[in-house]
Amino acid sequence: MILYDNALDADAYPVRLLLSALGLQCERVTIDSSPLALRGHGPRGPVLEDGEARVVGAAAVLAHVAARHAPQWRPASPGPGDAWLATLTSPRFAPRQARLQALFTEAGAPPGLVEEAAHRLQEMDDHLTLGEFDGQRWFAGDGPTIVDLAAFGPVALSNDYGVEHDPFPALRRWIARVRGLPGFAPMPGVPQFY
Amino acid sequence: MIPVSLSGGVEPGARTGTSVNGRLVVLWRGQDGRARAWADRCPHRGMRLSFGFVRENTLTCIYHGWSFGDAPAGSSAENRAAGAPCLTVPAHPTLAPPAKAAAALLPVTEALGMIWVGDGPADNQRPATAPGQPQVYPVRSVSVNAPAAALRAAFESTLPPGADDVQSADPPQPGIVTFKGPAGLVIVAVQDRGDGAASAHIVSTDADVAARKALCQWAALVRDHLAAVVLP
Repeated sequence: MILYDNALDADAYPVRLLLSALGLQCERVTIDSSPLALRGHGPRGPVLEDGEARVVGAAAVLAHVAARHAPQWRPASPGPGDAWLATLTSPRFAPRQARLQALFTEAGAPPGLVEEAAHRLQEMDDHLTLGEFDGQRWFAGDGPTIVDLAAFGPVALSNDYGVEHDPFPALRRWIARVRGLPGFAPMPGVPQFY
Repeated sequence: MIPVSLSGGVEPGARTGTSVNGRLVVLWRGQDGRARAWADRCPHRGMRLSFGFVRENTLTCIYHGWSFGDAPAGSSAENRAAGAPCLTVPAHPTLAPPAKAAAALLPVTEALGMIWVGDGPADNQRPATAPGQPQVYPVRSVSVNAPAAALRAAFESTLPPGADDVQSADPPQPGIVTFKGPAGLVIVAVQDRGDGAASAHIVSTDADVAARKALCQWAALVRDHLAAVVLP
């Protein structure tokens, strides 16, 4: 199995988390996946070669790895996990856009975009807050799924675009849970020590 | 003192930043279950301690790994007043950390199911709770970019589901709104974060989960209405 990705690429982070959680041996090849290098063209996000299969993009790679190697990491489908996954892995997801603009443009992320990103985090906090009343500790279902992994990067990296976790208590509790998963791996901006 | 979190908002081993009237505070809970509040500034290089991590009953700065904790038992009153002493400096393991390297303490207490922090080192006036204060159950916290007075007014003008009255607190307290409903009290305590931002921490004397879930949605609604009014 070969994963083409970049340590700074948050799109590929859920894939790295899943492979690490599963303990799957994987060769890593670093590619330049920054928006500057791609100029809007070329493959988006991570590419996984798994035997004869070649999968492109975070959502597709997550779905592929979960389907082939880890059915327990798939959210019940159809179910609320589907909509969350679509939102969280969308290229237009505001926290993703805000981080890319903050890190890779001279002007940084415009205030309106940062505000929208904070609003998305608020929606995630609201979802987890309500779920906790029913004993739900994860985004979709009773246990951790690829939805939690897809959500983790945009939340944990929010300091990159200037949004703190202070107003989101349920997200903070959930971050500690995700960090406690076996095989949890940090990335630049997500320190090992917490 | 100012409410800064529901008690469950900071679990043992967790830390978070918060602010009280514009003062940055690191709020954390040791494995011993006790909440601490310090100025959110490492005395070494000024790094925010809320980026650090809790181990046992110490808080370690993420920058150079200096660890801070409670003054050892038997320290002089003068030493205790100096703040939370530095316990280890990883780069110089044999060096006794300088006494001046201490994190500034803020008064902290837990009451009404919430953590309260002093508005400055001298503010240690606990929230007045009536004798025989009933058991409270957590609802949620909400935060908004709006002044504390506006958040308080928004809650006062929107009765929660089932409530029939806004009850003045007894004894009266400026930051607290209490609603009386058939199943008990709903208590909303407002935190002035400074810089035009505020939070509200909400508890209920009604343990019923469905009722608290409804309160949870009510609080989010109050927050969203206020945000829609305040934002351009």
